[in-house]
Amino acid sequence: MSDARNMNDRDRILDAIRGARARIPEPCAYPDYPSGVATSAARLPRGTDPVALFRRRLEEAGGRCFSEAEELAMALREERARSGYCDPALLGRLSALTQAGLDLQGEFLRERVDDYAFSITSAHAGIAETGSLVLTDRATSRRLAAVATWNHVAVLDRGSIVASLADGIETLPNDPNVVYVTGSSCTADVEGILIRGAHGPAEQFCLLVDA
Amino acid sequence: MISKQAIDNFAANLPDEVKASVRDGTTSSYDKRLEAMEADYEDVDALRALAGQIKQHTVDHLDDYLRQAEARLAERRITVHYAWDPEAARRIVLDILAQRGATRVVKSKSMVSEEAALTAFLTAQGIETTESDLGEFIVQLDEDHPSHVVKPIIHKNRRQIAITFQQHGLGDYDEDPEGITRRARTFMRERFLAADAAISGANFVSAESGRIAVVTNEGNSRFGVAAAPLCIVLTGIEKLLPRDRDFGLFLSLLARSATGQRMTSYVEFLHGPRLDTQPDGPEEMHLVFMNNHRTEALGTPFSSALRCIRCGACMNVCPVYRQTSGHAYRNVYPGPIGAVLDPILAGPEGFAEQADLARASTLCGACNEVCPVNIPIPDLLVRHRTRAVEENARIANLGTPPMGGWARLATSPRTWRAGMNASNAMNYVPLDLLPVYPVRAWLEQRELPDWRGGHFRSWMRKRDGHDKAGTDTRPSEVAGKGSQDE
Ligand code: SF4
Repeated sequence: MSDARNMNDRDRILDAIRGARARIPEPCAYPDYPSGVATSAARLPRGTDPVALFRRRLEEAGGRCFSEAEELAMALREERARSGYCDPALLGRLSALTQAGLDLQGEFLRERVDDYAFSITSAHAGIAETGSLVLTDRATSRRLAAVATWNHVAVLDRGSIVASLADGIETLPNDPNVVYVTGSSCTADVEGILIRGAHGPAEQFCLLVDA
Repeated sequence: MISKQAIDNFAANLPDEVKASVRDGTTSSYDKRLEAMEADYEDVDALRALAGQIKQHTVDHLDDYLRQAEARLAERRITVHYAWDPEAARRIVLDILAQRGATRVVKSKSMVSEEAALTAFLTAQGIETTESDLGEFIVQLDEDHPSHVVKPIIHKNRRQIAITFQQHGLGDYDEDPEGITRRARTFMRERFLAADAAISGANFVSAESGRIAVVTNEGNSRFGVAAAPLCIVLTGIEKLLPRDRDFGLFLSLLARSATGQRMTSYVEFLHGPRLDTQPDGPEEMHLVFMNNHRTEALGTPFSSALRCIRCGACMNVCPVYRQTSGHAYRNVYPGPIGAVLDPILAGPEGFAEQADLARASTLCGACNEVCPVNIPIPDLLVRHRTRAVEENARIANLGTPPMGGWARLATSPRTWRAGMNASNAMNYVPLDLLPVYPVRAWLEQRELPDWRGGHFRSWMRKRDGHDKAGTDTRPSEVAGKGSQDE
């Protein structure tokens, strides 16, 4: 072993670990296990439709899922959210929202962050088992918009929903920022009482579309 | 209360308000965990054993996995740093901030940063540092310490928080949890948007890919990382997982064990600075691996303590934690795992001062039963106790009578027999008035049944006389119960 005083912290740590490893009589082996070992959906009846399961689990987690833009428009109006940010690439397909009287802005200005009552961005995928939306740097036009507004809408292609968390992990996209969003931002720090809308969206919506 | 143990005394002086908060918080977390596990899994123990094995494997091959992770992280343009101790960690973070001229930092939860007392340090260096997790923010305002690894302010109630907010100019007194949360949200948004750097902990780092998993319900880590140009992750060297596929099992167990959720609201996989096409997110990323005496546990039975994923389940279930609160443990990590880890993290010189922690346990084993990585906490506590005796650590043994006389008595059958018969005189001694400290302390909480020294032996002798054939001589109600159980 080398002299600790002349070593940087990296070598010192690796050296200490190597020294200790010599004392492990039987190092533990990496177990062989099926990646779906902790899949809770395994207890569901066979043939459960992934899209239906996704909807159910998303709603159990406090989110809301729509198949029609009109329903979404209604929900946003109920939240008194009239004006917000929308990924410019989605503006074309969401004309129903504009027709329903909502103001969609294709630009998100950081200085005016509080002026956007909602944000609409694309999701990369969905996970049925947990009702999670998968957001990425590639799919999400503005990371900040997706986290900073009171209402967030993820536009999700039905065909991109995978069955289980394990499937989601197996297909983790090559992206510097992947976020699994499951329901809304919440805290239970004050006396264990669940409050929605801690720092992120209090209302997490999903609009299902066909690509 | 006349105990000489610091933890006993802390618990005895705990205000009723705190006791109630801790009791309610731990029981509800315990119930939620149980419900979530039972709803989804038939064999939770098999999953706990599997996760324990994966983590033990990681810990047993830590240098390989660290070097692998380091290479992957570097490929993703995440600069890796190693810190031998908290002081080195503080210096590294400060240097990174200084290089960019960063003066405003938002920080999400990181137990390793608590080990390094990072927030206080940065603040003293003139860097405005804000804890963004609601509980940690309140802890910071109160100049307090977290008392639970998942619920930092489990020891506080809404009235105390409302007063804190009022005193710090966060509006008039309002004890509504929703009102408290809204105010924190408004206050924190400005800090997020103005921050030069976001500092976060890591729940898991995949050695295979270098992906860093950060888990929050509030979204504070996500907001911080999206808004700041610089991101620093501070974590322990043991936070690795061998492969990406392990995320599935560990995220499933962590969410259910910690909060009874199927999935935490936000699981963020950080994998490098933002894309050029993405306007938000860090341009620069660093990861600091801190040791702080962890390597001393390797190659010993205590290495299993490094499997811990900080879910807090062992705290919620522990009868001692529930009575004493997290602050009774005097260290960063409270509860059963704290009693195991704190003496290790204190280093060889510090052990003697933490040696009483291992006594703060009934060894009931509940912590082991709920632990998602199956750490044999009771065994490790017994090992700490043994070491405390061997090293003659004074505070561990305060109030414990010397056992030498007992050992002599119990190992000689003849003396034992004589002692048993003579000891019936005990029934006539007012024990609670004896001027013997340990006896009095013990009897404060307990009542003794009548002493019946020697009865068992005479009963045995009679039975042997009656029953030489060796058939079942158990009293009938015991035998009956046995068959019912089958
Ligand atoms: S020791 Fe086990 S139960 Fe306790 S916090 Fe760590 S992982 Fe959770």
